[in-house]
Amino acid sequence: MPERGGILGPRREFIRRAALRAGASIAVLGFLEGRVEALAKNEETDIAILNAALGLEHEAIGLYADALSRDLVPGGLRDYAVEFKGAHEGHRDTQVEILRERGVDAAGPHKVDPIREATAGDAVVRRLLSIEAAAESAYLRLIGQIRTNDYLLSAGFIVVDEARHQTIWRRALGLSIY
Amino acid sequence: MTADHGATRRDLLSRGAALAAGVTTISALPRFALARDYATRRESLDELDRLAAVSVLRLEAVRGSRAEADLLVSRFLTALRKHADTRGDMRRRFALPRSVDPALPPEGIDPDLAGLRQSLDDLMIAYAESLPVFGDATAVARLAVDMVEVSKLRTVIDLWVESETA
Repeated sequence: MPERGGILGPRREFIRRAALRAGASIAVLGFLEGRVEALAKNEETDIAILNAALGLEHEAIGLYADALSRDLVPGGLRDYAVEFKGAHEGHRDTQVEILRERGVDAAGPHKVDPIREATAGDAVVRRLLSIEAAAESAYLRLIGQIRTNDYLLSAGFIVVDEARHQTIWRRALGLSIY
Repeated sequence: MTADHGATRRDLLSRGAALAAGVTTISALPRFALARDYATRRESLDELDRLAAVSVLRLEAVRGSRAEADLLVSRFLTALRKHADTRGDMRRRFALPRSVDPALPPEGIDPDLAGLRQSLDDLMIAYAESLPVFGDATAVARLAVDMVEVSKLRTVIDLWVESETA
């Protein structure tokens, strides 16, 4: 997957778009894109990371809501989609609460591109997998840059959920899970 | 990492009890409010070593009772050995002594998948709880990668249990 020379791979581009929609800072975007080695360890960085992560959660919630409302999740997998949407809502609420505690108003949800497919099938599951993979990748990239203990701890608890979601969707698609 | 200003984690989460209640019980997030605080890097690494050793014992027990588990268990054990190497690197990075042999449960571990799943869950949660005590971006990033892998191992066991009960 070409990710050098300014050409972003699909996953990074996805993360970048979601982070941009959430108003992520230039520094966080640069870090996610690999153009910045490390972020300053300060309150502003934590808030920038929180906002970027919040954007990904909004994106995931919007995507699951779209898939569920239009009955696009294949039979037998709907319960997982409901569970994962609920988990992302919990992640969102935690991040909003941490931002509030720091005196920052959290960004609201952005407009999520609707799922192109009109019927349930693997393509929809692949789209759901893509947001989970992007979220895991972003959290793992950013987690070492988090300064405050509460946020670092919550990020740890969140990223293990993303890993679970990703594993379930990979299994549903017949991809290697281990 | 710095000490948090203002409200503590538990204040935050106790204020938002409804928040955790809205998340399914399978999510790890509700346990965030009850997370253990490690006082030192050494304490967290010792606990991770102990919990990983329990998972290894449980994996061996499952392999001993289910021939079809051999390949999966081998892969899991390889992953856990790699994680042990990471923790060894962390001890060297922070000039910490090697772990003492962890106190393991007595003989006769049940080879059940539920017990294995629980041991991996305990290990995964201990990783998450450990991250703040390291105060080092490289250490946190490396341990987080292993934590995510343990989450995937745990989910594979969940799927195995589901397939057996279906």
